[in-house]
Amino acid sequence: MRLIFFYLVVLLMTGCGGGGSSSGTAPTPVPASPVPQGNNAMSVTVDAGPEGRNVNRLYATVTVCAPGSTSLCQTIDHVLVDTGSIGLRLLASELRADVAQTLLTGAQGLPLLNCAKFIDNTYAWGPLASVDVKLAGKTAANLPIQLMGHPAYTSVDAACPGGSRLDTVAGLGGKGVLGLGLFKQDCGPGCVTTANNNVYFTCNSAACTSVQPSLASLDQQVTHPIARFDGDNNGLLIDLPAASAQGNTSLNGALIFGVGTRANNQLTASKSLSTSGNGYVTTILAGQSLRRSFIDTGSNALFFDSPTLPLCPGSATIRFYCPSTRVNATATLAGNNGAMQPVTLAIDNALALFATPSNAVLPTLAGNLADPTGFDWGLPFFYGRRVFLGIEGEASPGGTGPYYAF
Amino acid sequence: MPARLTSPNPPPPRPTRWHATWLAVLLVLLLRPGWAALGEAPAAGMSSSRNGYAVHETVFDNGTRVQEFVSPVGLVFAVAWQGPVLPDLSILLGRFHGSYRMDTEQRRLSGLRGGPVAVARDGLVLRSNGRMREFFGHAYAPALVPAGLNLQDVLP
Repeated sequence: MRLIFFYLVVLLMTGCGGGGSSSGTAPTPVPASPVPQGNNAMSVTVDAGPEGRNVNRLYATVTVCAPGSTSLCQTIDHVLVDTGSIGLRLLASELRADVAQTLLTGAQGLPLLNCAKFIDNTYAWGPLASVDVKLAGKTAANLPIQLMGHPAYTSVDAACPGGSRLDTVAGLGGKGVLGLGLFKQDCGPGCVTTANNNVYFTCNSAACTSVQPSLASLDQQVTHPIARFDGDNNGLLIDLPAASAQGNTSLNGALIFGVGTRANNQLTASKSLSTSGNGYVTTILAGQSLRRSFIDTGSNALFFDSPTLPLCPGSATIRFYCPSTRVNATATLAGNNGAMQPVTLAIDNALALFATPSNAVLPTLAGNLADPTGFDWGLPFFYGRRVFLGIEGEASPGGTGPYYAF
Repeated sequence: MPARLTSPNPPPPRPTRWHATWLAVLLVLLLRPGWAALGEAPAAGMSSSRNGYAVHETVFDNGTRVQEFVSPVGLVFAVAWQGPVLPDLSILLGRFHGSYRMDTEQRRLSGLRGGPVAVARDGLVLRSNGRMREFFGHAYAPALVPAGLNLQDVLP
């Protein structure tokens, strides 16, 4: 998972004006949005998030039920849609215990636990529960999900060494993560055959005062919900309208399941870019081939290394770019299959964009990646595009996944 | 191909106390990290000598590969990792881990969360990037890098 966002930037900006500069431009009306049609299509939203301080974060509302139940159900809003991770992870604090009552077990019939490490020195730790996940009219029955920060298991989180545990809405910027990446499980075959996988663990006793490494079958692993649907399960389409360059307060789009399975998900992309086994494509930018590039709704800006774009001043914003005027550029994305697709990008001064705190949709926000071999095409890439993702091993009109098509 | 029914498999050996003891010893050896920390002497194990430094490499059960780069004076001056699971950086960075932790915490407190990490402070330079099922990064201590060595030629 790649989650990149800012919180206090806006507060710091508005708190340190000092120079008498006027506040930013007035919020721009929300652009027209596609209305999802069909039981494989649902609304997704970009807004300021549950605590009102996020930009470029895509959210879905998810319904989960106890397995087989139609009454023990709960609908949870503001779950982050993240094409950089796999599977559903919900904060235990946001999920009713009776909905998540069916815990998955490992050896000796004791709870199975999952460690998801994220790149910014944070981690999600918690037990696996089996639930029925309902998205639009589709159901992923008995889907293993992670209960993030479940208080009964936090005392044994040393098995998952990382910096900060993601266990609150404020810490995460959402109530959970809906991982809809290119792969079917968060670990894959390695965790089926290797106990020392550092991803799955099981309790040593009913009280769970200690844990040990555990195997996890593919069926037990945190799994891509769409891959478990009955039909419409070979990929997905994220269809977001274009946003105003100066920003919008919010934006509504569609998340559609399946590729080429229905009228509403026909492959309209001009190119399908197969990825490497690790999910990378290549970006060609200013003569450089950036071979570790990816397209990720969980990143809240376009992140790449530029020798010319100036970083913003101030420790809180230094990761973002602050050119004095708009910078336009053209890049080419290339797949492993040789398919190439040009992409234009525009980059505005991040501090100027943040000057309108109510704008949560900032299509020209870009920042430094800290990796000269990659390009992280975050949520701004998705504005005004229909982006298809092909799930690994599944055939579709875009080819066999993993691929990106747009 | 059908199994041969005429020659049954021998009964499995019964575990004895002796077996259990050696199993425990073996387990301890296996669980002991086969890698050292930045700024320390390298762990014993497979090393390869290169021009002016040595590389000690460990591939973990989960497929993640860790390389330690050892200077002629016997100290790990750089580490690199790549693979499906982020290694335990508290072990890999050793006494430099506190700087990494402090830097990432400060970024979080200032509102930057979830992104790749670039640290340059307190004698540590670190880059950490990737996504679930594919992480990569490196760290080095500039003060420990052998004179005349170009890190761009060293790091993967």
